[in-house]
Amino acid sequence: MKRDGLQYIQLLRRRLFFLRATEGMLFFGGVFFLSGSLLQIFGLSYLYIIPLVIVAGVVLISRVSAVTNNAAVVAFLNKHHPALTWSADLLLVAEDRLSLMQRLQRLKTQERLAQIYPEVRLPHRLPKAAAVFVLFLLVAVVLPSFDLHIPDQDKDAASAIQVAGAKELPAEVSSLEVKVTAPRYTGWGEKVMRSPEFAAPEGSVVNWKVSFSGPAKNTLLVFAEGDTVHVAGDKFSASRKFFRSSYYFVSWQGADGQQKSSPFYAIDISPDLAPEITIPEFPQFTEVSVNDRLSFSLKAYITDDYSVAQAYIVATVSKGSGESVKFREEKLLFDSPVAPGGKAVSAVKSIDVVKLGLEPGDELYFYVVAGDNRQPGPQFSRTETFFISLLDTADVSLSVEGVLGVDLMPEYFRSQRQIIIDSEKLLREKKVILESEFKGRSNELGFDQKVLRLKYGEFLGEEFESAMVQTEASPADQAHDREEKDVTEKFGHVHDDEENDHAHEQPAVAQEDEHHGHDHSGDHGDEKQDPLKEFYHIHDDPEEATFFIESIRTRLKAALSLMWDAELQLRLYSPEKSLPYQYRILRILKEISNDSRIYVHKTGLDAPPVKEDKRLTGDLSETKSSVDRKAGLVPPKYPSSLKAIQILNNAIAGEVVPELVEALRRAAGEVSAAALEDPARYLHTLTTIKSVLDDTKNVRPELLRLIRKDLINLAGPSVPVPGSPRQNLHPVDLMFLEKLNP
Amino acid sequence: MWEYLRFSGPFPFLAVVMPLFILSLLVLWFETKRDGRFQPLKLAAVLLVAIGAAGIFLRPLYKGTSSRDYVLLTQGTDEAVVDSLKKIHSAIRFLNAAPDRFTETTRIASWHELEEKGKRIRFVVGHGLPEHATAFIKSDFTFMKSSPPGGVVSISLPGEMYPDEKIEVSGLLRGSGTQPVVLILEGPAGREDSLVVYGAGATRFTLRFRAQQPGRYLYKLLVRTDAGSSVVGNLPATVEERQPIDVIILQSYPSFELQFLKQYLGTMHRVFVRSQLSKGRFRTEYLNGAEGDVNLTKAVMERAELVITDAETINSLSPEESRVLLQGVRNGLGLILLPGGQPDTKIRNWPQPFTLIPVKKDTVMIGAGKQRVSIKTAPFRLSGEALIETGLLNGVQGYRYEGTGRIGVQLATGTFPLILRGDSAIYSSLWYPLIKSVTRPAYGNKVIVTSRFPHFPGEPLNFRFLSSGTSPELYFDSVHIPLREDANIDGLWQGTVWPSRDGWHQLLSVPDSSRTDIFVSSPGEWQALEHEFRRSITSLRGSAEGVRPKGADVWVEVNPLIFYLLLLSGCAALWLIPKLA
Repeated sequence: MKRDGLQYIQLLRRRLFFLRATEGMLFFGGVFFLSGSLLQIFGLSYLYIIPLVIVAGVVLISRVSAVTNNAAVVAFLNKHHPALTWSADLLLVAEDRLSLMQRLQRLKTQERLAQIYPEVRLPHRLPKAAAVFVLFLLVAVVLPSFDLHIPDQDKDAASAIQVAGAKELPAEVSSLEVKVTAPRYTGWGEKVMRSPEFAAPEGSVVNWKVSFSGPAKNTLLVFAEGDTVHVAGDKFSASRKFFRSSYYFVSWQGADGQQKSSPFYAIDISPDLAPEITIPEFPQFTEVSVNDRLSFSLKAYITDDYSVAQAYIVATVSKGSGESVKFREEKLLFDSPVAPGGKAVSAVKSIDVVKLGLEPGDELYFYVVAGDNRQPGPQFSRTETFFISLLDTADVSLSVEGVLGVDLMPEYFRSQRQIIIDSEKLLREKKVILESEFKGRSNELGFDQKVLRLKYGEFLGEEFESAMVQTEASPADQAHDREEKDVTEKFGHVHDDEENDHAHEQPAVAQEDEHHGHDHSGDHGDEKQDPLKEFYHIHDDPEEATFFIESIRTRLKAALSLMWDAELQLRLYSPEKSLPYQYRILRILKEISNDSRIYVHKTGLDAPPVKEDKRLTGDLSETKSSVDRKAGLVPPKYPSSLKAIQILNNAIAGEVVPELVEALRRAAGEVSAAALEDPARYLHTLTTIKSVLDDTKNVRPELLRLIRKDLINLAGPSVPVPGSPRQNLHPVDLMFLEKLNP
Repeated sequence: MWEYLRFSGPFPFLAVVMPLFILSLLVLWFETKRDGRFQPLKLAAVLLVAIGAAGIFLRPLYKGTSSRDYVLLTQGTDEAVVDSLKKIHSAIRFLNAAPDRFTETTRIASWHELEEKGKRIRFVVGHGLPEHATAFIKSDFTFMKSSPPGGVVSISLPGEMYPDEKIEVSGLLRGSGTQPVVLILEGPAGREDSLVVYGAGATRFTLRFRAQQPGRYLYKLLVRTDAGSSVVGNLPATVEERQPIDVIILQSYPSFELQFLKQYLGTMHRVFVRSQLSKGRFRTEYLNGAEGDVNLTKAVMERAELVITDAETINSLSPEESRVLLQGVRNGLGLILLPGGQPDTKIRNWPQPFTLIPVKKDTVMIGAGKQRVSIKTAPFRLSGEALIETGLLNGVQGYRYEGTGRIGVQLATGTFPLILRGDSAIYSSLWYPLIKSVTRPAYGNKVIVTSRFPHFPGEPLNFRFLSSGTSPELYFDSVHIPLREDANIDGLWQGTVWPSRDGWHQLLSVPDSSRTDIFVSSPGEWQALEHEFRRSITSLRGSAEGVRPKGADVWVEVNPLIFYLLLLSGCAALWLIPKLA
């Protein structure tokens, strides 16, 4: 079909319009998505995008309409297609208004335009627009996945409140303005909430302003505890201070005279917490000797929800031993920062134990204290106590006064330290003395070591050498045995009655049995048949008879074991091999000595003194049979909720349950108490119960299921107590059993 | 000839044949008299007319062989199997019990329709029939199973459920193995338990939940795969209220172990505690209104459900008290022996209750994960063939029967620190199974539903119960149910109800007003489980070997159209042949 020139131009104009409009839409679409994404990131309302849409629409329409008219198309043709010889304008003019030459030229142009029409490529930026659209769309999709939140306390708090809130007001309440004024020290300031549900710091003063769309009177704010605040004034305002989470609802009397109420709204009060102190990489117990590095670097990380106002170290130096232990307490400030402030503080302190006056044998106990900026009084928190012990290896006398109050250790035998000194001296003099003298002195040292072992063994309960009987074999040693017997008689306590002698033999036999138990298990059938032995407390067993607590006893046993080795090497004339054992013995004894210093105040029952004249008389005249009647039943914490669960079960199953309303009303009381503790969890339960109670004629099963679910979670599990299982029994069975067991 | 041919026309054979024969002879005679061409054709045309007319009036039938047997198509039928059966047994007929499939076959709306055709069903194809429908098939048949159903193919619910008790639901899941399957158990309070099942084939699973209150609950079992979630079915849980029992605690001297056990049991039950202070002097405590004589008498033993003591204390009883206690146990009383001061369980003049094996280990671990704690035990473990062990603690606790009662033993000696530590749940898990196993049962006549779970609307639900009455009355949703007494056992009554709708139903026994809750699942639930059960039930009734379909003689009518066409063509020939001449 052949068209005239004007038709071609109009076709081109339409095509140009389409291209321009498409590219405009693509540009606008990209910007639209990007704007939406930015609004989402910054937590702004999507309504802000409406002006953008309007402006962009106007610009787009005006821009497209401006460039898509016939004149523009003609100008483009004249410029880019010389074949038209700049005569395309003639096509827009009516033929009767043209001269003859112009008509001829018009005809010629029209023919040429028809020829070149398929080749005309109108200008456009569609690829660019598409690329921009895709790019912006990608950015809009990816951007929200990054956390670009500006770390602004106020914004965080505001967004938290928005999450907590988002409840709608009743239709009659046109607005409910909530203004929260937090204590000054929190730095939270004063905020106007957009939602009736809000979160605020502890001690905040909340002010409400309620306005109604219609007439309202007798307006109240009803709080969780049953408190009511009359909303006074023309603008219906009220205020209250909060120290714990709560909830409230607005109650008013409408035009119809009925008292109406809003849903429940939660008030989430975040308590001001005490500072938290973390001390990383510092052992609670540190033992150092004088030769070690005596300066410690202490790092403490202190955080608080508002601000750390003060932080310091309380150090106690413990000096002395026995009953002359002295304590000195000092308050040390951190080296950096001296005056802490801010939510998080990284404090450093260099502790030099020498500067604190510690001497070998002394101990340092310290803990870190931090306080916050709470008004009127700060909250303090402290760490556990850390111990630094400066070891003293010079004094090795074992002190047990911490347990018994008296020092039982005699002074007139060689201490381990003395044996070490003598052993070292003997080794130094080895080259200058005769071999016989060397051996003799080594043997004497072995004897001293043995005496020391026996002495400690006595404290451990080894009253006799029950374990060493089999090791004494050589004649020389037997000679020593005689001396040892004297020594044990001298230092130990000897039982001279037969009964005790017999008693002391038993452990030896038991020990022997233990040695041979595996090989001769068949020989001990009697013992196996008498399992009660396992339960006897044998007082004359060396394992049981001791002055020491378990940990000391274990270490003392280890020391005694090492003393055996040390003595062996000395008796083999090898004091150089004995010395390592002796050093270890010394260290263990020192640890035990230090342990005995720890003083713990004894608490407990002070039994009344037994009358001596009644002791062991067997008089039971005052011991009488008694009868006691008690109630042991533990009432459930939420009895009404438990009862309501049962009733709800029946109601959900479709039964008509008249007591449902009363049961829910009672359960609501328990739920409201729970909602005070955890409003986010149970407030909606309360609202659901209220909605059921408000319209009892149209109770929906799904609401009942929701209530039942929450009540079950509220009641929580309890410890199951077993009872009788149920069993069917035929009467014939009973008769049979009766005949069977007359 | 008449053996193979019959006539079903309205006229007698001779009344038709004789006139036609005479007429044909006359026509033939006239035709032979007339000269003309195509004479044989004319004679043939006359014969055709005569045969056609005879056939139309006589309506002949011939004897043939046809199958009277049926193939019953059930849910899950494979079309290839149907095609094969059609090829092999071309005459066999099909009954269709699979909805929306095989529309060309004869559909049955109810299994009761099989009652009529049950003798002639030779094949059952698909997942099979429900239990009650198999009774309608009275012939031998071949069961051609379809492939096993996937999903939950077995489920077992505990018989009795009590508040706060750990209730276990176990079952079998048949998975495809291509993707993991998540089994979720949801209760009224939300999700209770879940587990992931990997791999193909049948996997046993156990899900646990606790119900806190007595009542009727529905727990939902869901299956979640990559394709999405689907509800397998509702699990009914009737949680019964626990009744307080009478517990007697006897001790030679007060101990912490029994003190805490007394407090634990006293939170629900009536507890009577007798502690010996010295010879002839006792301290007696009654908790929650417990009553009883200080002395152990037959009446006290009959009233109590459980006695907790140790062998040492029993040995210190008077011979009469010891005898009464043993007699009480034999009559159903539960007795739990503790190690006491001496871990020996030998009791004078009593049969040896347990065999104890000395062990070196005097502790046992209980709990799981971070809750795992060590508990002190006597250095013995239980042994013996009569011993039935309970709980997790292998050899630490157990019981055996003595008459109708049970004697249990608890070798854990240091359980009370669990309470002090706040591990009440572990303490309960330690004592709960033993006490529950040993305590004298509460005898009652509860209705027992003998039909397996799940029950569906329109299917029979069988039950039985014991009643000493001559005519007990039972109501199903307030509808009186006829009962029949067992022919062999007196007092055992049986009945059947047909629930018409899904949901909860109730059986009410009039004599003692005891109620039994029954849940009827909706037809869409527990599909795989129902198919699996049908497969097993039908397999038991059917045969894996081929059953030959039986043939039957039938009289087949010759199509009258043939005779009409013969008559028409004969008449046409008689009209046309003269024209040709």
